[in-house]
Amino acid sequence: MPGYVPSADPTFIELHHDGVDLASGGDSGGPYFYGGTAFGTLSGAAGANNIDDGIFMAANYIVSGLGVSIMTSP
Amino acid sequence: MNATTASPHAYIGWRHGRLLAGLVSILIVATACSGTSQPGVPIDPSQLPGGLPHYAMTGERGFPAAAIPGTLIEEDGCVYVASLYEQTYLVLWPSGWTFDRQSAPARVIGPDGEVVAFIGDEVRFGGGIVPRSVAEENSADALPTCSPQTGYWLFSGEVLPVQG
Repeated sequence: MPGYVPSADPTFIELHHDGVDLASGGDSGGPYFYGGTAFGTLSGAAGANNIDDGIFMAANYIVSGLGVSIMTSP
Repeated sequence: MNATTASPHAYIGWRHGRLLAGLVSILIVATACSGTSQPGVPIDPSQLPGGLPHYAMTGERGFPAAAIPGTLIEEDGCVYVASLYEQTYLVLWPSGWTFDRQSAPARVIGPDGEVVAFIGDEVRFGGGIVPRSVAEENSADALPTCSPQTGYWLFSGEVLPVQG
């Protein structure tokens, strides 16, 4: 659980890529996806300078928690 | 910016070892930085080290990746960001940031001695809103006697360009 979250059921996943900035201030709420697959929505940043790791909440928790659907086309 | 694309070269996983190391570090830092204040007992903000409330957590535990555009204000010795959405947040600062009350207007100094902003400036800070429980848990000292209208802004240290 990220340090800024007091408690929560959803799992947060940390994504790391050496030398690549994965998250920055203002990115929260943005989508994490690869091709046509949705992985989740960005929550936070971590790692060196707080930007080279991205923290996101997995998409299945968003669907179940909010009762919404993920659209992959309009 | 690659924030929206998961690279096949990336690895995924919540690193328990790093988390444990981060927790241990936080305990050590919190103990070392407790100064003269007592946890849970609010203190005069001018008596805080550097004149600002600092947190003890590190990037290992992560920070929210939101941004707050607003005006840097001071009330009763406390430094807030009054957002464009009419909400006011008490800023929790990274270690090394200080507040120079002697200048006119007062100013915030970054960890390398650079002037980051003056009171009254428009700013845009990275970080995010946290509840008081998280602020208290991660604060290096007792929280100051400030009354945030809306909540606490955990400032990641990222100063973003102000958009016109």
